[in-house]
Amino acid sequence: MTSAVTIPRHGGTGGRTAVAARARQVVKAYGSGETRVVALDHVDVDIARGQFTAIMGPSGSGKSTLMHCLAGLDTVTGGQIYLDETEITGLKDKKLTQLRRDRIGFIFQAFNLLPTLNAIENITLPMDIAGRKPDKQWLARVVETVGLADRLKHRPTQLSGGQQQRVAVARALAARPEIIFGTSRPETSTPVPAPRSSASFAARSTNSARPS
Amino acid sequence: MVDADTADKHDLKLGDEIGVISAVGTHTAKISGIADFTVTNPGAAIFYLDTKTAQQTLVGETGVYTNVNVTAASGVSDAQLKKNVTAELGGDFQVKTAKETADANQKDVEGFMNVMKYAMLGFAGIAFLVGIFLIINTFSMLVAQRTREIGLMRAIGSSRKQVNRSVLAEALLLGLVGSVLGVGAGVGLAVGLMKLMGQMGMELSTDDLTVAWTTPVVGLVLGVIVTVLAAYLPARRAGKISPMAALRDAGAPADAKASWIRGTIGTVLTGTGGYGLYLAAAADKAKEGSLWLGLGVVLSLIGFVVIGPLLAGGVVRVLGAVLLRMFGPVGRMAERNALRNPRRTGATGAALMIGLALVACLSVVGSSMVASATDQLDKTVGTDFIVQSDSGQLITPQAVKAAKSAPDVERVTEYKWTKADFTTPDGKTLKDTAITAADPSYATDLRTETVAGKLPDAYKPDSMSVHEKFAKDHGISLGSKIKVAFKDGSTADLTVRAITSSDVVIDAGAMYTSISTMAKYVPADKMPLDTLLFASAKEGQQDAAYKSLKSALHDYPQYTVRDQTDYKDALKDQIGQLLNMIYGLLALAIIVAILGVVNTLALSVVERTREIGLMRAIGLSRRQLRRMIRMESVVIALFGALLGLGLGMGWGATAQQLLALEGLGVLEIPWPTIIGVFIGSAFVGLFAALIPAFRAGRMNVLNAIATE
Repeated sequence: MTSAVTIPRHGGTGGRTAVAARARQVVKAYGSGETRVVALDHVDVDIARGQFTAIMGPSGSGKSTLMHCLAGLDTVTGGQIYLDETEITGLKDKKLTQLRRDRIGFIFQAFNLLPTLNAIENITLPMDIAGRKPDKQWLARVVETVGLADRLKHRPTQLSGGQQQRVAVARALAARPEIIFGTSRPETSTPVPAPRSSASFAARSTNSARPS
Repeated sequence: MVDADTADKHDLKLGDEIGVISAVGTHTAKISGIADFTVTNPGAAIFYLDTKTAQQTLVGETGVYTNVNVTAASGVSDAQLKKNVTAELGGDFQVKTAKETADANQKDVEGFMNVMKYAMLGFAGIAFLVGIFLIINTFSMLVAQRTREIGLMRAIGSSRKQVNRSVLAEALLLGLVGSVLGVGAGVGLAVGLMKLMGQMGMELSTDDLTVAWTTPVVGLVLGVIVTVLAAYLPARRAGKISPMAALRDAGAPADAKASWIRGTIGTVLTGTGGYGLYLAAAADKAKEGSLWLGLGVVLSLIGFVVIGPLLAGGVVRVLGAVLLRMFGPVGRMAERNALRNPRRTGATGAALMIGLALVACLSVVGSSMVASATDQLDKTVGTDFIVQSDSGQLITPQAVKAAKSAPDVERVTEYKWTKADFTTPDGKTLKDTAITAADPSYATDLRTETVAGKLPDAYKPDSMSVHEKFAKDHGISLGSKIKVAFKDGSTADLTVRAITSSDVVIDAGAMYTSISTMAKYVPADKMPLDTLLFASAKEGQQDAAYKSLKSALHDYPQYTVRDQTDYKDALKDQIGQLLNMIYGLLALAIIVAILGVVNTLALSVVERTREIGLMRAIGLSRRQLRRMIRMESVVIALFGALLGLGLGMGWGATAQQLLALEGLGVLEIPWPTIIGVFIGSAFVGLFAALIPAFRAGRMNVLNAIATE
């Protein structure tokens, strides 16, 4: 277990399971009766650890819904979702929040950063909220990788769109989550050389159309 | 015979004996009947006695009356009857027709009610002012939230004017709805109050409820005009939004920086206001000083309001460093949120500032009043005990005798006053001027300072004292003679032997003569009764004298014996009660300000929906989120409190300096009250954040992120 490749709570790469998150028979339906719309109809999916998984599909096919459910942002109508060995379906809000804070990273397609905090404060926010001290060495490496070393004291409004996006990436990586979820729109996503060992990276990319 | 309501309240039955205390003495009477009103009982307790008993117990003579009702024979008008009766009786009696009596009564009530009305309207005005802040803030936030929408409208071709007008039209509608609700609630409240007063014993029937047509009209017009005016600035700002705004990324608007223009204007206004206050404090004429004081108060208030957003930065940072840092990142975010829009924080805090500034100012003046009076009591009062009736009844000769015969009491000083017409050396005649008559020992009981002569000399035969201001106004110096025509007595030629300082709190403006001088000119049966008694204990016998005096007056429950401590407490209570009443009315303004904080926070939460969603997504718990909002609220409230209390204490200190000319020599800042209000504001902040924090906590994370 070298420090660089360690994922905090759940062993190293190639540990017990090769699957970071999985969905079993997940159903997500909106409304009821005649207006019932089924967004996810008994979906089974495994997101492999240490790899990029992209979910693609036409607009309205339930990509966002699936990701939101996997990330513990949305509740499911039926089925189970596991993060590593933890079943997150049925967890109370408090546990779910802790789980998102400590084990999941997010990169949204827009509006990723808090305007009142500068870049470095945004990056360390999840750890600050948890009351944990960031691992300095790791943090420095993340910052350097995304190329923001000279921009850390800037507020989001003083950064370009691409730089903002990279701050978000750095935040997702800094806390060493087990899994990072991201939504991207083609024109703002900047290719980031992710540290090879960090986590599985589930990226959703849309087909040219910009959602929402 | 007794009225039914009173009998009910005090559980009186036929045949019960009650004591009747009058100026003549104490008697007992048996209840022979209980009467009922056919009209609304104004809440008074009414007793009827038969003519003979009444004459004996109330007037002390048989065969005399105080009032006579005359009913005209048919065909004789009231005015004619009045003329006839007056001609018959001569000028020594007042003759009034029924209408005149009713008019006079109504005038009395109206005079009091007018004072009440203007005081109430004044406080309502303050609440109104605070409401204006609330409206400006709300519309500013609404406009900010709709920036993209408005940008889009502009992009597809609406003119600035149209955008501007749409906001004003919204204000008009809101103002109308708000005013209608307000007027309706006001009338409802009046009915409720009347019912409540009814239950407390004042028999007011809601049938008598009168709403003048002007009340709702003025309310509506004022409400609408003020709302539209307050929305004008935000509306103009909305008009200035560029079509580009539609294309920009949404999210919370960027930090609005307070401009240097604002800073300059605010500093100039505050500076001028401060200078006005300085002039007021330094003024040596009360009239001129109060002008400066008013000017200083208004200017410094406006100055603080203008400069508030700039101060918000510094003050919030300091408060944050002291209070919020210990809450870690949540505290830091709360501080940043409070700072992100200084204009908004400034306006919200300013609304609270106004009410609290007045509270602080009045509490400083009030406690200075108590402190000054206490100080004067210590310095000037040489007597040990004061006997007086709290309901303003005069002291009967029997009670005076009882007090004089109490053991361990060294001496008792009688104090009475009457009215007289003064003819001063400058040839003017002053009608119905009060003159105080006391025993010579009063000069030691109350050591009033003199500016000329010695006070004990004023008690020599045919002598008197006047106060400084009176002497100045009428060209009186020591040795001047004043013709004093006593009411119910003859005219005396009194020599001025002492001029007392006008710079006193107790018995200010009194002019003294001795009781024996007065007795020379007023027949014994017309001598007024004592209003006050001063008693001094024998050396070292204070406690014993206090007890014996109390037991001596035990049979006269209408009088209260107070030693100096009691007297000070009573004084404090009186001022405290007055202050509490004013605080109660100011509470209105403070409640409006609290609503302002609630509003600002609620709109902020809506505005930051995405931000909150993001924070929740990356792991901020509900509890942390709520705490963050609460802390933001507390900081805003404390900011307002700090400004308000500071400003108010400045005003209060200035007012005291000015009132020092009128004898208010001691400045006392009531720290417990001030600190209590400051801490209380923190709780106000917590309270105001309850609903916004709850709503933020309940926000669905996904919806929050998806909001666009």
